[in-house]
This record gives sequence, C-alpha cells and structure tokens, in this order.
Amino acid sequence: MIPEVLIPVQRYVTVLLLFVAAFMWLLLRKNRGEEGLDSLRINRVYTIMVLAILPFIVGNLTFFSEDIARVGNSFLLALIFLIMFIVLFKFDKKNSAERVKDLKDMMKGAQKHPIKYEFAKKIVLPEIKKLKETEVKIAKEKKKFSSEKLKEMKVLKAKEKAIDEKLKINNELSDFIKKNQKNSEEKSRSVNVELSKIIDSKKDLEKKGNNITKREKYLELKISEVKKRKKDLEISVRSQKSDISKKTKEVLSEVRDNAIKEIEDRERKLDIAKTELGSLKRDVTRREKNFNPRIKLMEKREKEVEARFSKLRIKESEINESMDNLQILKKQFAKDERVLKKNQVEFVEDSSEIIRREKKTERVKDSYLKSKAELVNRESELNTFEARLSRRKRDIDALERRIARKNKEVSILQVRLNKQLEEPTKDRSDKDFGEIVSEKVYSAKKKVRSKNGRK
Amino acid sequence: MAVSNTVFMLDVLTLALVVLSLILLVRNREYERSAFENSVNALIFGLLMMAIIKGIDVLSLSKEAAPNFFASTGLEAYVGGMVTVAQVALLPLFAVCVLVAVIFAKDAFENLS
Repeated sequence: MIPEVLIPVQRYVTVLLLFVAAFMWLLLRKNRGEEGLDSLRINRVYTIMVLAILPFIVGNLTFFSEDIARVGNSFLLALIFLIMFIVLFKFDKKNSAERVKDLKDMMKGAQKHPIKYEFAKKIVLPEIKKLKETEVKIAKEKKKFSSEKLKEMKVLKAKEKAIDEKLKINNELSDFIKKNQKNSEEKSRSVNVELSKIIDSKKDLEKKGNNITKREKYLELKISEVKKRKKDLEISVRSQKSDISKKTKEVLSEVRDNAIKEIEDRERKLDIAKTELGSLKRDVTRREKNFNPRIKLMEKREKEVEARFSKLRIKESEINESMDNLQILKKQFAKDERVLKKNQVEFVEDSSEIIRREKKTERVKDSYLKSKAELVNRESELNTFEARLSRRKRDIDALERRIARKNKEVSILQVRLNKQLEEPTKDRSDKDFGEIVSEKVYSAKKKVRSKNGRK
Repeated sequence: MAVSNTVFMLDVLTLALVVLSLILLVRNREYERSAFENSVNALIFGLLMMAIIKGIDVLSLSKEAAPNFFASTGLEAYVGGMVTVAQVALLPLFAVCVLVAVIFAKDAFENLS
C-alpha cells in the first residue's frame, strides 16, 4: 500500500527536483551566456541532462494512456542519452587530441613554450626541493644508521683485536712452551752428550785398563764407582728428566689449562659477540623493516608527485592555452597599436592642419576684427549719418507736414475756386473732357478705378 | 506485448548509452578544471543511479519476457522489490544528483569569476 502511494509522490518529487535543476541551469546559462560557461567544457552535457525532465513529465502526464506514456518516457530518455553520448564522445575525441598535442608540445623545445622555465621555476622546482629534502633526510638517516653500524663495527673490531691479542698471548705462551720443550730437549741432549763423554772416558779408561793392569782393581773399583755414578747419574738424569718432564707436563698442563680457559673465555666472549652480532643483525633487519614503510611512503609520495605533475601538466596546457590567447590578444593589441599610431600620425597631421587653420582663422579673425572695427567705425559714421538723416527726415516730415498743410490749404483754396467756378457753369459735363469734377474727387475716383482695374 | 517489447528495447538501448556516457564522463573529468570536480562527480553519481534504474527496468521487463527463468531462479520476488526501490529511492536520488551537480557548477562559476 505504501509503495503505491509513494511511487507517484516520488515521481512528482523527481519532476520537481529536475525542474528546479533545469530552472537554475537555464538561468545560469542566460545570465552568463554561452561564452561565460566555456570554463566548464561539458556545459552542453548539463544542458542535455536537465532536459531529462521531459520524459518524467511525459511519464507523469495522466491524459496520455499508460502505454503511450511508457513508450514516450523510454523513447525520450533514450534520445536524451543518445545525444549526451554523442556530445561526450565528441568532447572526448577533441580533448584527447588536444592532450596529445600538448604532450607533444611538451616534448618539443622550450622556445615554443616561453613560460616553460617559469613553470619549472615556480611549480616544478619547489616539488623537486621537497623531494631533495626528503632525500637528504633519508640520506641523513642512512648516514646515522651507517655511523651506528660503523660504531658497532668498531666495537666488534676492538673486540676482535682483543681476541687477537689474547690469541697472540696464547701463541706467545705456546711459543714459550715450545721454547721450554726445546730447552728440555737441549738439556737432554747435553745429558746425552755428557753420557757420550762418559762413555768416551769409559772407553779411555778401558783402553787405559789394558795398559794399566795394576790399577785394574782400583780401576774396577773406580769403574764400579763410575758405574755407580753412572747409574746415579742415570738415575739423576732420569729423575731430572722425569722432573723436567713432570715440570714441563705441569707447565704444559697449566699453560694448556690456562689456554683452554682463555679459549673458553674467548669462545664465551665470541658467543656473546656472536649473539650481540645476531642481535645487531636483527636490529638492522628490524630497522630495515622500519625503513620499508618509509620507502613505501616515499614511493607513495613519488606517485603523488607524479599525480601532481600530471595535474601540473594539465595546468600547463591550460596556461599554454591562455598564453596562446594572450598572444592572440598581443597580436590584436599590436594591430590596435599600429592603428593607434596611424591614428596618432593622422591626429598629429590633423592637429598641425588645425593649428594652421587656427592660425589662418586667427588671421581671418584679425582681419575680421579689423573689418569689424572698420564696420563699427562705419556704423558709427552711419549712425551719425542716420541721425543726420533722421534729423533730415524729421525736417522733411515737418516740411511734408507743412507741404500737406499747404496742400490742404491749396485744396481748400482749390475747392473754393472750384465752387467759385461751378457756380457760373451748372452743367459740369463737357463733350470732349466728360464730367468735370474737382481734383479731390478726381483722385478718389482714380484710386477706385485703379483698384477695380487690378482686380 | 508490442509495447512492452518496444519499451524493453528502448530501455536496453538507454542502459547501454547511460553506461557509455558514464565511461566517457569519467574520462572527460580529467580535462575539467578542479573547481568543477565536485559537480562532475555528482553528475557521474547521478548517471550511475540512472544506470541502476535502467538495469532494474530491463530486469523487470525481461521477467515478463521469460517468467519461467525468474521463477526457477527465485529472482521474481527480488525484482519486484528492486523496482519499488528504484521508483521510490533511486529516481529521486538521480534528480537530487542532477540538482547538486548544477548547484556545484553554479558555485564553481561564481568562485571562478
């Protein structure tokens, strides 16, 4: 029951949300214009996307049958996404071509990229510095580790030296023992020599015995004594030998015991040193293990740096684009400058002409002023003349008035004369001249006739 | 029947186009400025929602075409639920994504200017 209610509600919510999105986008588009949206390359995709409101509106409309609404919804959606796919495909093609071009440009020499050094200086160099710092840190740690290792090696060497010294002492002792053995051997040899001498003397005695028979007994006694002595000597020699051998054995045993003890001690020390070495090795392996995450961190950082580099390349391409635009603007600016210079030259020419004209106008003005002054003078003269004329006019007017008065008087006199003339001749008409009238009447009639004649 | 077949074909076409558009939009995102990254991401998410919705629609229509297969595999019950979820949750989510993408784009334009 809940989905049955919720589904249409959610459809309406979708339409509402899409309507808000479409309204916002189209308002933005209207405010900024096509060129204002150029910073977002796929702005057309947004425009197409907000058109997705249409299929949902068609799907929600109730005056279509359900089948038509479904087909219309699906068809419009397919159409919108087809347009979007085409637009995106074109964008992708264009952008990838631009990227390849930029990458090719990056491979070319620096002369086509004047900001390459600046880019390298401002963006790449700090990254390289950071990398170098990390390298220095690692090198320091390595040095520290190697110095520790060297110290340990020195300690080990000192221990080895001590062992060597002890071995030397052992060797010396063994030499001493050997020497003692040699001495004992020499002594035995001397004893043997003495024995040989004794034997020789015995032989001499035997020889003398042959010669000296008298003293045979004595000699025999002596011989027995000598034999006894010999026996004693032999015994003593034997005892001495046994003593010497005992002593040598004792010394040897002592030396051996000492040597064995020392060797055992050294072996123990060696074992200790070996265990220390093993612990040191373990420590070294542990430290190497500790270094592994750092190395991984380094690799990670390297990857990050590569990623940054790629971003920087993108930025560089953007900068290149802007540089191209800048160059175009520069060209345009140079063109404008040329036009400006031309205009300046024209302006200078015009200004010189204007100055010339101004001079001319000043000259004209001067002449005008002169003529104006002359005119003013003339005007004043004319004014005086006019005043004179007005005076004359007034005089003339007065004279005219006087003449008019006199005319009046003359006309009155004429009328009087006419009256005087009419009185004798009642018939005022003549066959040749027509009606005879006064001058005043005649002039009035003439005026009326002239008016009628004009009409 | 003809209507459902037409709708099914159109939905399959729409699904393919949405998926392709999604891939191309992801590829084109690299060429956009970082200021528009959030906006494009929201749009991509919206397209993903649309792809899921269309996939569910295709599944539900194919259920009508081959009911035996769905009945045998036990997917029949799930498809109904999925359609409900798509209509109730995913469709408004798609609209919300489009709206958010537009708002982010507007903010990015304002920041750039």
